[in-house]
Amino acid sequence: MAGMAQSDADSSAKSDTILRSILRDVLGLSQSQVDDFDADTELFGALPELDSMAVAGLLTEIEDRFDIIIDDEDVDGETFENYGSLLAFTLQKLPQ
Amino acid sequence: MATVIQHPETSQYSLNEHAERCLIAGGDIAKGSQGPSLLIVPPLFEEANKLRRLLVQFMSALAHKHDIASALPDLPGTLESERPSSEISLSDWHAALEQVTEQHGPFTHVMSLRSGCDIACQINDLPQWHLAPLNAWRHLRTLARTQLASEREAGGSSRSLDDMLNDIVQNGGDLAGYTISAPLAAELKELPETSAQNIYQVRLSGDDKAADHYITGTPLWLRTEPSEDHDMALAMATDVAQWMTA
Repeated sequence: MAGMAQSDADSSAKSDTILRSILRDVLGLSQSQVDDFDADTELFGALPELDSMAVAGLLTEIEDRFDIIIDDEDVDGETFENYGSLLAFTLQKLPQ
Repeated sequence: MATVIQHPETSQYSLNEHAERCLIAGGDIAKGSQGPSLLIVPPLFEEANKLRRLLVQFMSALAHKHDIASALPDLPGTLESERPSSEISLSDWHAALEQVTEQHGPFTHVMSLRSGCDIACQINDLPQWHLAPLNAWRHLRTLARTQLASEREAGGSSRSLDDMLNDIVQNGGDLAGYTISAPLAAELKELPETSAQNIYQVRLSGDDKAADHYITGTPLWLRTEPSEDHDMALAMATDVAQWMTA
């Protein structure tokens, strides 16, 4: 099953890259800024670019780039708390 | 010798006795030749505002670097149109593009981007250049999310996104500054997947979805504030010109 674990790791690394590029594109951040994000990097409340309008755009772009549908009921204050929580939220929405 | 036109000129087309604005670039080129001519289908709602400057710079470059004429109409109910958006259905946009073609065409090619692509591919069989297409219904979802966010901030709404969208399809309503008619919402929801053979699809480099070509640029449509990227407008003009004259 090692191969499977490897492909899971590959796919979550790819999702991580895509999510960083979505944040870059929607919020107008630089690549180096989003490259520096770690799981604890605070998002909502810490990035002035991330207001509730930007959240709407982010959710749609996440849907579009990952080809998933996000039920807004699942989105709460913690989803955008930090980069780690947003990545975990996204990964959990992807088809297994 | 082609006349150099610095900026697109403001013209009009009429639809059901309403005058609607239409920008024309390279009008003199079109009159003097039977060369390629481009109809631009604008993206919908607020994307039309965000991408206006990009499109104007693109038209200027296309006219004066590549000698190709183009027309960019306002769709009824958007941009400077005097028609209330609440009156508009998909057939108005189709009729508008037919009238633009009759009054400012003929066109040999069609270009669109984002939410305009879904509208563009329904109008005729001309070859189409699409940039970063976005399903028009997904675009309405974004407007609905924005609307919901502002209602929640105002302490009002506890509606879910799906409830709001269902309500718009049934009854029409306000979404982020636009009043959408029930027929338009229903039509956008039921739009078929764009699968025409004659579409040349372009995306921004970094987008991992399949495309015929990738260009470098800024996804201005994703930003909450309007902005510009002149180099991207030039790159679009170069690619569209190559595609039109290939």
